[in-house]
Amino acid sequence: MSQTRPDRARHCGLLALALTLTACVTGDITQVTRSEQPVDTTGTPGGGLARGSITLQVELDPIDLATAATVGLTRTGLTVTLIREGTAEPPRTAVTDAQGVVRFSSLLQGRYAASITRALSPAEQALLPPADRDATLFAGGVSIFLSAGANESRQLALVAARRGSIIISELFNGNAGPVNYGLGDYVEFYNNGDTTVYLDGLLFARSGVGGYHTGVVGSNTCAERAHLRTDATHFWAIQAWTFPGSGRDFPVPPGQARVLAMDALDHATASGQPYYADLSRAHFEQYMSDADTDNPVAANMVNSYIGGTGIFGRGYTFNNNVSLTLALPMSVSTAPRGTYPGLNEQTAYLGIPVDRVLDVFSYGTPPSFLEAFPHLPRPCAEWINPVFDRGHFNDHRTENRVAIRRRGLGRTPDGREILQRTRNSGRDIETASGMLLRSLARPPQ
Amino acid sequence: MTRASRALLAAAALFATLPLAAQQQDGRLTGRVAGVGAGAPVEGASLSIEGSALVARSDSLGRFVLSGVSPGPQVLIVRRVGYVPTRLTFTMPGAGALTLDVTLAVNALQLEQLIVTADRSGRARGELGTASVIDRDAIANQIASSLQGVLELLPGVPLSPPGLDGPAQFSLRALATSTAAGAGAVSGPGAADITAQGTLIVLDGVPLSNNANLQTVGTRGEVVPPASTAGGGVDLRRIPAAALERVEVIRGVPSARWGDLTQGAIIVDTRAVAVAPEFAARFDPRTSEGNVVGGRSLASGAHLLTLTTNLAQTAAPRSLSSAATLRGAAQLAHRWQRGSAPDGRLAPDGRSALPRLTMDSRLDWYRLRFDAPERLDIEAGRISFQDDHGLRLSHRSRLALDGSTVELTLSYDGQTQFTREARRLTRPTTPFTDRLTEGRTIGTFVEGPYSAEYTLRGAPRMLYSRLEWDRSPVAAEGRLRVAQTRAGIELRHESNTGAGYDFAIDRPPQTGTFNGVRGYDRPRRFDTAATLVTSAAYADTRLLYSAGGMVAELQPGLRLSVLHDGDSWASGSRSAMLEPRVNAQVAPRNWLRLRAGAGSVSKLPTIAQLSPDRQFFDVVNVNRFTPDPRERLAVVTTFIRDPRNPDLGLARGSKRELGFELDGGAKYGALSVTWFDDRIRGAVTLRREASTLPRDRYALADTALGSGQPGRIVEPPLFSEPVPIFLDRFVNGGRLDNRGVEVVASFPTIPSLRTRLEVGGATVETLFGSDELDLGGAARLAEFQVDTQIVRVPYFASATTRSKRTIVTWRLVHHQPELGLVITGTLQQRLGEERQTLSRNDSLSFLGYVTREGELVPVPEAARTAPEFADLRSARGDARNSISRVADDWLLSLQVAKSVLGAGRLSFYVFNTFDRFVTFTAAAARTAPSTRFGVELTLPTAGLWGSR
Repeated sequence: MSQTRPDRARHCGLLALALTLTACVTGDITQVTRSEQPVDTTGTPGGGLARGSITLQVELDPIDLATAATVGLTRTGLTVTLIREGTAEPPRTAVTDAQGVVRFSSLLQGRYAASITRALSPAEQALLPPADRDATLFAGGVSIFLSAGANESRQLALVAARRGSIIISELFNGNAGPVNYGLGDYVEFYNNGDTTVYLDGLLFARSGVGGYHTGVVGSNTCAERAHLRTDATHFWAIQAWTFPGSGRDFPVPPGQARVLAMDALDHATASGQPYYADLSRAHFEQYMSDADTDNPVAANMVNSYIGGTGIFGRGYTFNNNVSLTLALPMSVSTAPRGTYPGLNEQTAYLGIPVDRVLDVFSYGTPPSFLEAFPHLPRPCAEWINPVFDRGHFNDHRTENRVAIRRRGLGRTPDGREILQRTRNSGRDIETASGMLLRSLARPPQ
Repeated sequence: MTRASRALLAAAALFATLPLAAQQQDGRLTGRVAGVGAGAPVEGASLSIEGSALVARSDSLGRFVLSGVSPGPQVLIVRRVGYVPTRLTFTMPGAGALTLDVTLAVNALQLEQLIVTADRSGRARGELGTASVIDRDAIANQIASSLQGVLELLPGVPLSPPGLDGPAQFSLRALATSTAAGAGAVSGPGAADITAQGTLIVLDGVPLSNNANLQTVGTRGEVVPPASTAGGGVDLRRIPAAALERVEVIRGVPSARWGDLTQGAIIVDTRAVAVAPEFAARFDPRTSEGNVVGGRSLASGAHLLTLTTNLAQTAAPRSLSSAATLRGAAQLAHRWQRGSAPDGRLAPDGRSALPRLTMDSRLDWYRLRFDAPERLDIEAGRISFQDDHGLRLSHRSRLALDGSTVELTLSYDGQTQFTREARRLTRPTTPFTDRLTEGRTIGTFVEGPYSAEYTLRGAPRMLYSRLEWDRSPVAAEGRLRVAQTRAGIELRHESNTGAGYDFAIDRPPQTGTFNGVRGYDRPRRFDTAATLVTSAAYADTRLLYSAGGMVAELQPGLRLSVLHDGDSWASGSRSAMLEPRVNAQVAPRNWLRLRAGAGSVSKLPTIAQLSPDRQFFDVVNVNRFTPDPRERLAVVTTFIRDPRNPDLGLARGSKRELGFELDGGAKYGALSVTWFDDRIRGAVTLRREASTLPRDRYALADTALGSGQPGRIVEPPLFSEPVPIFLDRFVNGGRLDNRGVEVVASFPTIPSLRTRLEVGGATVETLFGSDELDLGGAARLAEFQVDTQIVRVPYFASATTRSKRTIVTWRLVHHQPELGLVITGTLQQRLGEERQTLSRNDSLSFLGYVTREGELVPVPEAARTAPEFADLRSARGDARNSISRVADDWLLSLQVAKSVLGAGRLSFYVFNTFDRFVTFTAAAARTAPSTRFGVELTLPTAGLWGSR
């Protein structure tokens, strides 16, 4: 159904291999927690503040050992940045010793984010075999809560970031809010590679919400669905759409993006609220039923595995606390179905094999928000298997009605933006300062 | 009816076994009436036996004699202008005389025998079924704003603080849940569902009706009133507690005199007596209330005029809204008496002969206004306003004949109801048509925020008349005698002449419900709705048998209720029911009373149920929504379906109860236990009917983008596809079973502590279900409607909900008559509260499936495992058999009342003293109103009016 160019297929194949290998690794799931604001009220019986330390052991991810060796990267001499979250304290930095160990001492109680970002220079990239040249940096991170006076030790896994090809670059999911309007959601797809990609036939899928796959405990427990949620062989989706087209109808040149709207119309007008986007020129839209409007400018997504027509028949929002994935063309009808005891046959999960997965984008509610609403369901501790994503972005506040997007990593000499893709949504995603700046709102070049 | 007939026979058999040879020993009650304190004799006090026609008058030495008092527990009522009326319970021995001295006081709080709770031994007039009587003293002591608060004295009724928060609907012996019942879905019964099944409220001899109340738009859409009693019971807030003289609550089987009920009757008498004027005011942080009551006798007693006025306001908690409810109410009662009865009977006041003709006229006005102005900090654009007022003119003429009485009651009740609701809505971009007839339209597209506003203007009217003949011989003798015989006819005519439901068609009060099939609402006039015309005839008799120390009473009766199919009483019968009822009571000892009752009852459907609004379906054929507005094209076909049901008729109920009373007086205490079992069948409920509409699909021409012109459809349609639709129709398909036990106990008074303890409680279990099929929840059917990939959906048998609750109320009353001090502590326990859905919900529970053509195809159970039905074998998500329980809890309220300034009274109260606000149990929660402090002052203002 889809025609992909050979170089993209090669990228994807290597990527899939890399992901498969990663599945054998048990390391820390790196994540950055940004929202907790611990108050420094720690005291000791004798007076004064109890101080502790964090010791980090930096390890190279086994699947990237060969790449690291090629460019001469070792775990020695790397700069680790430590940030005490929720405070204005300046970041601390330290350099790893010969064993890859770094120690931060005299630390007050709080939540700390430790990270390493080691960009590869063009010269270093040139040392890599051509198929591996989309590895642009090595990065890793870990979040640690330090009790008063405690001494914590952690591993910090360093993985090679790869640009990939077509990836999920931006998302908007705004809750209905005071105007009771929740239809302005969109997802943006960006060509992060160097060659034109065709969306025709690719699968776009969503894991569950409310405790289905990645996320939140509803009436079912996390344990009940853990075999689906943390599976390393399949991404289990509750909904999947296929991009229309017969092979070469929907090209995305390098550095360009395409937008999938829930409804392709001007949502600022329809909602009366300026924070919604004008999606009347979106490239694709969900079209579920005659309750929906059909914009002939936007191609209608093919409902491959939906099981419903969404909100009032108008399609689905891209709810919080889920993972989205973009996958290579596949047969939905013959794909495996995932169930658990008591699951309705109608709502079984669609299994997307790991070697079809191109990109994963995970995002959820801030822990501080959940703490304020103890009656809300809690996210499961294991969100998704690290083979797909090593950490989710957990600062997505739908009530703020702002988009979240993939961070920019830099630009190619011809000005094309390269986006960060370390397979860790927790570090790759940020709150966007605008909407669709890489696509519909992009200034003409 | 069969059960009732059996019960009737059983009662008759019981009666027949009584020893006929026993001697009739009607008692003689003598005594002296004196004032409190020095004990000066009180002359001219009237003394009567409650529930009978016996009357006497005290002489200049305060002495009185009452002959012919039936043995067993009795209530003596003593009245004298200038004193508070006094009720005295006593037990008349089977043989010999009894002497009873009565003390009268200026202030009820100074009466030794003050009763501040519902009187378990009270007798409802003309009724033998289990009843609670709440007399003026108890009403005065109850901190209540309306009749609703007074009814908290009944066993098993939850306590709430005084005020006008929300509609006050009351239902006897039934449990409501917080969600209303809908078609198909597992829900309910809500308060309106329960009250709709019929607790009759009778105000001064005339039923109050809510059958013509159309002030609701139901649950369609996002702009619905915060509360409406439409479809449910009468809003009791219209009856101020201050206006009440006496409330008789017939919890058991009412006599054949009362119709349009399934759950009992509440007979309310407003104040129409010569009463020294008094002013009462009450304040608490949210409610303020003031009353003025006065009654005066004119022209040597030929005329009696009583005026009651009330003004009350309750404000909602400021943090939630700025809403306030204001009530004004006034009752003017006039009585004119002329001549004297040909048989020389005495009037109930005992002072004069029974008048030949008594004419009672009453004017009853109320206004209830709820205003929730916009609060920008909570929700911009949200406005809610309701303004209801009503005027009721009633007249009752009573003509005394030789040995009997003929009474004619006429009443006209006209109400004006106004509701305005507004809310800012944002609608998704949608094709739209404002078409009011069937057919295809080139529509428009609507989108964006707008203020959705609608008004409901209702004008319920009720004409009521009753003609009744009553023979109650006083001096009849013999072991077996007929104590009372009644026969009567009743005519009712109810309608609503209001302008109706109105809004701008292009700004409907709903946005989200439109799905390309279901249409938005259209305005509707109420005055085209059906009228509710009913007639009834009834007869009953009360037989009394006494022998030795034993007394037995039997009250069999028969009622015919007819719902007419036209606008007049001459029209034919649409639905009719013959309702036999019987109550029996045996007192084998003067401390023991056994009671049983059984009967059939019926409840009318409401006008809203008889004349539901037409349903519009706007099927979208084309919705091409281009970025250029000039190029857009919407084509919509409108269909109209009528959900009226010509077969809708009376809901039928059968009631049974069994009880006993032990009465050992103040020394030994008393206990009353009643079991009841009420079953309502054919209750009005919704049937969700499936059918189909065609959706024509067209090819489009001239649709080039950039042309600046809309495309056009190419006739004929390419093809037509079926769209399933669902129409909710009212049918007699509901079931409501209420069963339980009521217990009222008075513990022996502790004289040294001047304290007594009373406990009243009820365990009630309510089962609510439907004989209709469950086609599934609204969301799933909406999906089926729009998703052409779904070829069929399963349907199921309806689920039944079971609710259970026990409420026990302990009242500790400390009374010091010489100080005029009453301290009441009320502890209410809520125990064993649970709710369960009873249904089959396994994957083979589906009975069949609905096709896109709207056909119901049954699937035999044996075939449900076949591979071709795999898509139907889904768990029924909304009908789990789980039990949700709420933990037991209690709340305590305190009240101190003290006599001041002669007949005045000062009360201080704390509701929910320990602020037990919310009880969480797993997923279930129960909230109680939070602590409320208040003070109430009643002042005699005799100088303003005169003392007589």
